[in-house]
Amino acid sequence: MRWDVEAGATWHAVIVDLLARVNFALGDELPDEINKATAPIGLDVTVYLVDHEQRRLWPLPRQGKPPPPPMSVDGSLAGRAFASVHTQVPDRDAVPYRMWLPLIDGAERLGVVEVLVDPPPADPARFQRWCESLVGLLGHLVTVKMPYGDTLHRTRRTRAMSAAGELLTQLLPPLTFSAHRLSISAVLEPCYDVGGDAFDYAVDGPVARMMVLDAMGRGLGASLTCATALGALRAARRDDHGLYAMARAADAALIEQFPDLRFVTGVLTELNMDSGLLRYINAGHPAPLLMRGAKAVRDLPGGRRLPLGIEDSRIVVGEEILEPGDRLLLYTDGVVEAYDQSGDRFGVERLVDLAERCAAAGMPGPETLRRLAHTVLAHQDGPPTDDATLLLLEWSPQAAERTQL
Amino acid sequence: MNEQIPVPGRRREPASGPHGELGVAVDVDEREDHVLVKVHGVIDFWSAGPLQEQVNWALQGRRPHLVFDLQEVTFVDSTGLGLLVSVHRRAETGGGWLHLARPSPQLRRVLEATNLDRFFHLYADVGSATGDA
Repeated sequence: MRWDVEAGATWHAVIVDLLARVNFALGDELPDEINKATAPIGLDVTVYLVDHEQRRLWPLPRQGKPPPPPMSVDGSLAGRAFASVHTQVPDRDAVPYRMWLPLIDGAERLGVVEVLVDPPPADPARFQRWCESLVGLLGHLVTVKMPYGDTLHRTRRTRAMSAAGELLTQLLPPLTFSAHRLSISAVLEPCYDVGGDAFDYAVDGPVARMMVLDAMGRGLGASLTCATALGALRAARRDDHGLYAMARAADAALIEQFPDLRFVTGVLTELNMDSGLLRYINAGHPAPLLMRGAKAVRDLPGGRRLPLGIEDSRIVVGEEILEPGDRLLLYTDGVVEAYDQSGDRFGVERLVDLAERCAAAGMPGPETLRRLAHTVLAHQDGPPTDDATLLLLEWSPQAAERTQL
Repeated sequence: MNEQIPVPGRRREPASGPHGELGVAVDVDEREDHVLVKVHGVIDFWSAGPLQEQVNWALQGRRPHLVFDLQEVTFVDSTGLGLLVSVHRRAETGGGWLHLARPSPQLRRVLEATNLDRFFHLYADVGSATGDA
């Protein structure tokens, strides 16, 4: 029988078959199982995963096919699909018909998918919507298979991860999260050798809680310190404690665990999206940056206390009323303290300038942060020497939509 | 002068600057009622351990009173800050104190950024830090 590639029944059959196939599939078997499910309707599917540095897209190998070369995120159509979170069609008259679709899990950017179909679809728009639904499912499936083998992890690595990096990256939530009213994005460099930086967030009902942390020291020592603080903060938060108690829990854990004294600087924030009230504690960290419209309006100077791990009872939680549409940028000092060969500091001005331009261009949050991180790395013109972490909260449904297909 | 300032954080290997392989040197002046420690160079991940060893003895005694003269310190990273916090703690636990004199502009900036300026006892000159003024 001839399948109608625009008909719902066709796709229903493909998806049911795919779901049955992936139950026992290992991560490295995914590409072949996907293609077995899509072959009856003439679809050829290649999955690419982005590396941790978010510079190139690497194909998942398929049996009996030579692997295609990796694609650059900057300067390829595949890369544009990834960066813009929009499907790209190189040539609408080409045979076979080709599409590049962003591979995302929720809002987390995982890579891209190349779909080839021959003969070309009669109704390309309708066909594209079905492919986007399929690829949305593939994003979830890749994520589900990720923890159970190392092949998918290996595909995302262009070099070995340090022990410190392995420990810390496993503790972090996905780089991007979006819900109806907000989008949260983060980026962390050096991605294979991160030591003391971390970020975390949780959104429940109208309340979004976000934090960035920067532990003193370097390497594995710093990542153990950071892991201790993150564990204590997260446990206190999940036990329904507020910012003040969370900070005290981190103090207690660090003091108990490290008699030699270790501290962690950080910003803990909590936004109530019903009232607009932002509450925050700044434990010896660069102040959060508030952006309104596409403009950075000011630093939030309140809520200051000593770094976590040095008890400080003199805390006044900072408060600020945010407006819908506002952005909040949290960053560690590794961002502004990046130096070039001549000793020129990256500084807050460059950060603000770039963040404003990305906001004015309506760029998706995760892409804004990818570019900010790469600009910091380029400024450093050498291997990064201090961890640099950025977290961007965008409080608007439009920002959330920009991270979705 | 400027070329002697190491680019912060760029060190991958121990430095070989004017203050030896570790990038730090100390002059210890044991006085009647306090110990004056003049630190030269960099207090960072690589030099904090050796520096700690050089001041440990001064923390052993009863009621340790220490003055760190930091004018010649060109750079302090987070490990260096950790060392200063730890020496401060140990001195106070022992019933004594640590006074920081003449922090360099970079150190002052880091202390303010981390709120640690309200944790330490800071002095604009050595005389007031030692109580000699």
